[in-house]
Amino acid sequence: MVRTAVAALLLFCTTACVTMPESYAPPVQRKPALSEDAPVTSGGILRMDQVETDAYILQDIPKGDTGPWRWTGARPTIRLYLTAITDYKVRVEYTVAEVTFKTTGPVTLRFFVNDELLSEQRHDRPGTFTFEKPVPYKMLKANNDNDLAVEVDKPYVAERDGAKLGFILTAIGFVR
Amino acid sequence: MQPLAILFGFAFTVAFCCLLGSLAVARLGETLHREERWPFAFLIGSAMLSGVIFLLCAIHRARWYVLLALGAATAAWAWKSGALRNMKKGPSFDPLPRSSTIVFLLLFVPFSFAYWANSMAPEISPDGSSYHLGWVKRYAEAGGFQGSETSMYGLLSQGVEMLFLSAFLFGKHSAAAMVHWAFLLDLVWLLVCFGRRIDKPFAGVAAAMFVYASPVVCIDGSSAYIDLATAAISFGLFYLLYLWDLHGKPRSLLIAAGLLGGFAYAAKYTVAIMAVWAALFVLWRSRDKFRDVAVICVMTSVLAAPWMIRNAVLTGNPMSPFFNRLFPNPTIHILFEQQYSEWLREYGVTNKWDLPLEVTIRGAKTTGALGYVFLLTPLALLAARRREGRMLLFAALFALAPYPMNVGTRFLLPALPFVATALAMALDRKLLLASLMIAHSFLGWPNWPPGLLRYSELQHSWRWVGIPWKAALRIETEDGFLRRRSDSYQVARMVDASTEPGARILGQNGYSESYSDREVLVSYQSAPNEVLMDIFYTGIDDARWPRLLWIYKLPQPQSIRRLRVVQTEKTEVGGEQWNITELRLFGPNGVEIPRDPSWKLRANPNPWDVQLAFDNSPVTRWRSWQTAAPGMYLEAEFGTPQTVLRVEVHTSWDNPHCRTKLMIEREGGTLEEVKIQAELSDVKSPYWMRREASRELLDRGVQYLLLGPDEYGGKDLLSAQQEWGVKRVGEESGRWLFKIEPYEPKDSK
Repeated sequence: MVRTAVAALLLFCTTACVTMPESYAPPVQRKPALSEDAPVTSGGILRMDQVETDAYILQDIPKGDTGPWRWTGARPTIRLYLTAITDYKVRVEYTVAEVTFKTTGPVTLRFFVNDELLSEQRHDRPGTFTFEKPVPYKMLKANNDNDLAVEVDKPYVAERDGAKLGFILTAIGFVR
Repeated sequence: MQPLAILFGFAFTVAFCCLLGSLAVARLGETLHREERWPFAFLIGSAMLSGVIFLLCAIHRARWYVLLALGAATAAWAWKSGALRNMKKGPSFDPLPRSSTIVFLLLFVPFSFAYWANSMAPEISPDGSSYHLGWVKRYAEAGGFQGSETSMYGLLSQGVEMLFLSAFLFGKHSAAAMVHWAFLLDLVWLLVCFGRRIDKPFAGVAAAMFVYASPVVCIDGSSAYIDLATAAISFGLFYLLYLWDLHGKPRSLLIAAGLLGGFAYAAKYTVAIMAVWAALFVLWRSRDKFRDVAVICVMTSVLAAPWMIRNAVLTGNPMSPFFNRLFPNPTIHILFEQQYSEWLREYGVTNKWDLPLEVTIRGAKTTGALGYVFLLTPLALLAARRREGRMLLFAALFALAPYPMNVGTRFLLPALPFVATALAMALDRKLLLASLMIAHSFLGWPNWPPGLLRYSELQHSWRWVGIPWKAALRIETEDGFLRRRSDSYQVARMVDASTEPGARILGQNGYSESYSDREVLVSYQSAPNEVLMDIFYTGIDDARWPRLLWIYKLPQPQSIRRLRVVQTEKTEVGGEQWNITELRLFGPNGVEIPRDPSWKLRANPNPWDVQLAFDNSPVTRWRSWQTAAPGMYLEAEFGTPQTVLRVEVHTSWDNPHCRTKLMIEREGGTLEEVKIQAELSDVKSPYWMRREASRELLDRGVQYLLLGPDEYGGKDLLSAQQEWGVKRVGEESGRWLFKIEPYEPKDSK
């Protein structure tokens, strides 16, 4: 009886051999979304009407607002995480408001990436503008947080409460 | 009502084990003293009940009413057969010295109160609330085994979890944790009995308290873990064979020991070493060596073989999730096993000389500390002056043998009863042992001594943080306690609230699955999950994009019946795999030859994923899932010969050291190497990789992604939701839940 049991045990051990599959036929072919078909992206751009935007604001952009634009302070700053650092452009969609322009006159906006000056724009008249400029990869940090700030040289200071207003921001971020 | 249900689940399971065990103990005759009968009845009965529940799970009849009926039938059988009366028979030990009893009870009673409160409080332990009870919950809902191949944890032997299932069916999580505590109580009882057996009663009492008051034992033994069960099984097995040797080697004891040997395997693979110890011990001491070793091996296989068969059926590997090189299978990757094993050997303790202090008084890295008294472990060698001491040390050596494979403190627990007893024997002076017991217990007590803990590294280790008796009695609600104490539970609640039933969630880490009704696919826990996560990573990691192109241009068009791409390099960098995103063939007119269903695709290793190199997707790829080595190949055999002028191997920059050669088989010929050099090209990936990756995941049944800011890809997912085609639908305790939205090409709008 014992011998039979041992034999059965040994036989069981042989059942552990794995049957390797012989071969497979080609599967159903995927149809990848080529870039021209792909949905339009915002890239790493933050739109003011998105709730998610609040998560990336460091300063001078009011949170909790989901209208299409927001008033900024003197130096609105956001922080975005980037995996790669090549081929990025800074893009900012904004308006220099007539109501503040009347008081401040021409203003200069200076664009900083990780506290390094990328560019500056002088506006001699109010209006809606889009700033877009490639970022040298050395200014960016791969797989890391990257700060993007826009500084107004002459913010409007409200007489009533002393609040500083910069400009009207619609979208800001890094795009490719 | 909930406390009553918990206590019933616990009591029913323990009683069922004891009743079954009493039937076995009745056959052991006079070899056991009266005091030894119940602890052995519980231990042997738990092995038997574990086997019975395994069978019920296999036939999907593991229901509470079935267990209740079987329990009642067992009770009737035990009563009618006289097995219960038999428990009061047999010789008795001399009473314990009064001093021993007083010291023991003074320490044992308060600790037992803390154990009761911690085990009956809602389960919050990391492994207990995730996979130990996660699988138990699935089995309880399905009435049997369910989907174990989706996670390596479901493939580990689950002998103790079978008993948790019995308790869980009545009293849920806490009842299961209390069953684990029952094993610890059983072990304490056995240690005291063993001391009396060898005429060292105070040493037995001291050994019991050294174990019972050890900080890591306290937290582990009051959680739905299995380590103290394995310790009890190991020591019980040792004890039975000690008695077998003492009492003229009766076969009944050998059969019982064999069952415990099998239960050791069923409880935890690493503890199966004790079955090897048992076989060697019997081989050494037996008069009829072949017969006795055969008996113990056959009885061991009664409880071990079912788990092997289950895994062989599910995965092709009877010892899954280990030994995958020996039994290659599509469930666990060889590379994962290799890298995971490397990590388990380290636990971040790079200098192995730090381990003694780490596992005794620090415990931050190896998750738990044994306590200061175990710094004296080298003195246990003095126990070798006695025969029992040598036996204990020899058994400890075996129990410790698997430890280098996993240096977590918990993996020392199967050896702890042997070491504790040998140490107590070596220091067998009442005053000394009493002092050590008191000091050890004092420092092991939760949050005690006040203030002192902050000066100790123990504060960072896994240990009791209080005595939650209000939560145990559910005066504090289960939900309230869990939300207060467990981030992982809160994530589970968030996931359940944010997803629909049946949803599949992919993540790099799990959560308290036993409190969730959703299936989370944790990337490292199985090969298919790793493939899914590789698809996700390919969305963002350009090193995984199919940017690297090897082009073979044949001198003239060739009519080929079979084509093979062979890897030729031995990659020196550990873990560098060989990857092929696509293998494409082009005809004389420069147009790609369409893949035909009559083609036969093969790969070695990892043949199961070969289709990923022929699916026209930029985010899926065949990977070797083991370090690249010469001779690995990918092959296509054509139904009808194909005229080929160019072969393209699309791969990625994350296998920079791999090189390939091309082999072709012409009609009527054999496979031969084509002596042409491949051209290398770094192409710009034309694909929309993030969206493509999420679309592929959705096609593969993953509807949600669960990631946090510290997990790779988490921040990218949050900041580029539109690119990914995902929407954040939940956030909790630093984890974000994203829903993958169906892909709609522009032209379909």
